[in-house]
Amino acid sequence: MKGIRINKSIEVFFVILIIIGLCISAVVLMDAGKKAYERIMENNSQLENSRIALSYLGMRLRQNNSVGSITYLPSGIENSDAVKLEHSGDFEGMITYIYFSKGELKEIYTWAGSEPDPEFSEAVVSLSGLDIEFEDGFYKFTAHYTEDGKPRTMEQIIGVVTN
Amino acid sequence: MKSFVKSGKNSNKGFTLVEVIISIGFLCVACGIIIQLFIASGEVRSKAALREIASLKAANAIEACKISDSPANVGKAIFNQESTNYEKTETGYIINEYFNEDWGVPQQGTTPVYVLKVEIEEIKRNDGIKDSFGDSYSQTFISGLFEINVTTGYVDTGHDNSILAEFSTLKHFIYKENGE
Repeated sequence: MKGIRINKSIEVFFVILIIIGLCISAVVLMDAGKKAYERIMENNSQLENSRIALSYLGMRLRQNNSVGSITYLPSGIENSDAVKLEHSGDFEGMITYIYFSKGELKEIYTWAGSEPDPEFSEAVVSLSGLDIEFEDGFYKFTAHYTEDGKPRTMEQIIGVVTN
Repeated sequence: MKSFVKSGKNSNKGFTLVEVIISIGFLCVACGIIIQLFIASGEVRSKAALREIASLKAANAIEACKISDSPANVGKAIFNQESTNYEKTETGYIINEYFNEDWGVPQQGTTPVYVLKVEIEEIKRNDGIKDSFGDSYSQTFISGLFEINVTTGYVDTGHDNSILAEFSTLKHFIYKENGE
């Protein structure tokens, strides 16, 4: 009788040990899953924001692509490279400045003749970084983002009418 | 009373160690399948991101063709260096640009993984004159109108750097007054 009790106690002990092991594994698995999910969402978010920024820049430049209406301003606003768009048609007389500053792609609307004031800027999208280059009639926008901690870039080229 | 005690004994029996191990085994298999699905979804996401970059590169190549006046300058517009991997065909050019696994420019000595192939061809049209057999038309060129086909894909690094699998294809027509 005593032997049976000892056997049962050992069996119960192992069952408890396995259940504890299972619980610990489940917690570790859930934590790993949470971290993986967060990482994937962060990667997706950064990639999507870069894409949004490049699409926005491409759309704005194509909308205003006529001779003399797009100007490149090196270190134009807040010591950042900027693009100046002079609107035509219904919005004639208005100017939009687009630039990257403090982790955000920003735009400022002003009337022709007035200086752009960064205080009135509006954030378009958050980004890790954005380079604006202008050469031989085309703008090259390079959006920076990270994927699993590794730096990555995405580029968009827009040709503009120069003459 | 006897039957009550007996049934009470039975209800206190619980699971044996073997039963618990088997059920945990089933649970582990189920967890394994779920983890595999999770990993697979991550891979799909990664591939989707690469395809997105590939389609952007293709769009950039077309934009570069619009603004460039020579095939060498297409490469300059795409990644700041003149194209060297281009060949002249009878009616246009074929430009091949190679990239590493991040769609960046491969460093010296590294093997490219992706390719961007740009085919520029001047458009032909039928001039309405049938040949001597009467079943086909001779063709003349429309000067300045070009068809651009851009393909992105994996590179067959083992052989001739040809495209193993395509990521994206894009077609566009441009007009160049000077025909270049």
